Amino acid sequence: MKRIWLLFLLFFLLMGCDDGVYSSTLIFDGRHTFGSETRLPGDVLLRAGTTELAAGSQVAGSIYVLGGTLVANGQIDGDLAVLDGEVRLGPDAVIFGDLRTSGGKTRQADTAVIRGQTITGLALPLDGVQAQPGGWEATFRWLIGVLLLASLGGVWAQWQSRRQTQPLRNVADAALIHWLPSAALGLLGLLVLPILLVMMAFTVVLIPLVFVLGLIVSLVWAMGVVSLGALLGEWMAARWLKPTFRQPMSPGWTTFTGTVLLMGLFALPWVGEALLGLTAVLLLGAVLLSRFGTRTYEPPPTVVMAEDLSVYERP
Amino acid sequence: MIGDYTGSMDLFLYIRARNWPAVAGYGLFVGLMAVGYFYNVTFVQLGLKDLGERALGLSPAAVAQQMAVLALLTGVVALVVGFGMQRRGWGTSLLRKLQLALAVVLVQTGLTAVSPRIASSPQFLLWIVICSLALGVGVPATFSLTTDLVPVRDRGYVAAAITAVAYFAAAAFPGSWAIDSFSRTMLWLMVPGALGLGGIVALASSGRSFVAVWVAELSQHHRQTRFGNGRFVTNGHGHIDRRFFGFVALMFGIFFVDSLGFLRIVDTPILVDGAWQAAQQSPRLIIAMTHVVAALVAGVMYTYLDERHLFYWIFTLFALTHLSYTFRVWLLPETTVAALGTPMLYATAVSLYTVVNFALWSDFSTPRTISGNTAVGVALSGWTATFLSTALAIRWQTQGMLLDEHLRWVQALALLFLLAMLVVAVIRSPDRGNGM
Repeated sequence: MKRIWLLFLLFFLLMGCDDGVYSSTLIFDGRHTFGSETRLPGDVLLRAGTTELAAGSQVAGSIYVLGGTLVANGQIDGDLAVLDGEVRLGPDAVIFGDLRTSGGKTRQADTAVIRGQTITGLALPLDGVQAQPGGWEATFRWLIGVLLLASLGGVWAQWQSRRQTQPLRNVADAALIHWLPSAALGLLGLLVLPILLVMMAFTVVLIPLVFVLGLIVSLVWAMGVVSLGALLGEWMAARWLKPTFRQPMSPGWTTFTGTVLLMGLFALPWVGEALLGLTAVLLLGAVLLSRFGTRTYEPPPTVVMAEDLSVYERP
Repeated sequence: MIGDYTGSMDLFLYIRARNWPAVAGYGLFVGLMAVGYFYNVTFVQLGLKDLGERALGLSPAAVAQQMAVLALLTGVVALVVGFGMQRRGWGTSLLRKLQLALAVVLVQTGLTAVSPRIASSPQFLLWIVICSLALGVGVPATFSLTTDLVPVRDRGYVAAAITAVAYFAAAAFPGSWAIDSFSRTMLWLMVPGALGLGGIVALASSGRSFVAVWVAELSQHHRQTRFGNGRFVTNGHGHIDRRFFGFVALMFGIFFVDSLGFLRIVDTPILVDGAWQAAQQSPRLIIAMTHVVAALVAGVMYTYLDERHLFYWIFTLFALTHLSYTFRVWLLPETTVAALGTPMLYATAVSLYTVVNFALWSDFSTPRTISGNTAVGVALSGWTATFLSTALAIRWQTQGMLLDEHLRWVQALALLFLLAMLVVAVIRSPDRGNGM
């Protein structure tokens, strides 16, 4: 039943990818003319053939030219990125974003307007990296994020404490007791995941799935951090608070405190980044190993052994 | 007492117990198998193609036929020798297996030395026949050393070490993919190796010196529980069963899919010039390191997880890799931009299945059945699939099949295997409660 609900959720998320959340137009061959009344809702990808955007037409997203010929005389709300092929910007062409070229031929009428920048050598935008806020604003955002994550984790831990299943405990146990298979699985995931995401984004057709996968990865990361935070909080409470106050701290509070502390450790310069990297590998693997905390991982009998060192000595 | 739960390798416990003969056994096995596999993935897979097509001027179709002969003969010889060894009880005789391995190494060294001097098609065919005989003997002889030299608990890690060494060397120092170059490189490894192994076998056979004591000590290992029966031996006798054939079919699929795609990829300059055949060292090192990391990961996963999950990963990665190549060829047919993502995915998939191949067959066997089981496993799945798919790949190429169509076939096959596995898993609905 649980699987059916998960499939339903995935299907629901994918339904949201239709026009409105993300749309795109792919042109692989042939001749296509978009008249003055045409409005294309998302990005456009040209692989080959000839595409003409008449004066008065509008593309709501960016255009990526990988090959073929584009004759643009309308309005482009996003960027125009030219990796290969031929682009002719007509007299009525207006680009609200940047014109980025790293290959092919681009010709431009004198009256064509480019509201953004004209960049040569970098066809794909890296604005997201540059647009990160700094200073107090960044710290404030980070703090809000940490408190939100810790609060949600605390609520979950409190709710979970009254139930038999212990997802957070399962994940934390997998990460700490069975760290080797967790790290191996996490490493494999991290080796494959970035390549997979880039590849999917590159195909354009699969961009909606990139968002779904990104969401899942974020959830996995959040679950892992909260699990480890819960364990850290529990350990701190047992070591320092219980001897002083003689009253057990609630699971919700220990999880909240541990998660905040863990995120604080990640924010430390140098050490924090290394810790973050190692923990990310370990937690990704632990979440997968415990199947999102739904089961307690148990190694096969060949790994679990209780033997005397003398049996390894020479006869 | 070591403890109730220990993730430690048996190797470390042997080191702690100062049992150096057992530790040296690991070294002997890894060295022998890593060089053997390096020979297979470079000299046999790429060198013979160059020898036939470039040096002798044979048509790709003719070379495809010769490769099919090699596959068929190797498989048949491996089965005959494997079951012959099993019948004579040689699976439990370490010295006999080392003698057979030495014979194989000597023949292969001779074949490697004469390969650049082959000048005609009949000579090439004769070379292939002798090579098949040697490889056919080598498969059961060397793989069955596992029950004497590697404890069950460490088989995944040891397979990982073999894979990491072989693929690191193949990817980081590829040289030119020409028979002369391969021959020179291999002789640097094989001549000292043959002398070393020859010395061990000679001294062990004479029954004198510390080497004889060492081999005699190792030859008793298969009697211990730690070494004897593999982890998948459930019925006590280690005979081939239905589950075993299921894995043979899966491994056949993996080898087939890999080889079918790879031989076309290596013939496509835009796909290899920035990766396996890059002029700079860094892309090759990245691929080599990916092989190493993926092999180590596979070693751990094989040890700790249900083996089915490794197969899911492998087929998924192959499907993704070829999907990625298909998109690249389709969307950017003329780009010269070198992207390492897909070769890294490929290297990961290849390392994962190689580790499984090195560990799986011995884990289905007892010391008595290992030669026969290994012959069936490696010969039917590995050799036959690799060379049949090689022949098919070359035939498709000669028929003028376009690159993206070829890759789509490979991708479809990988997805088909994955789907079949998932369907079987759902139908059987196993809940072994072990691992993932």
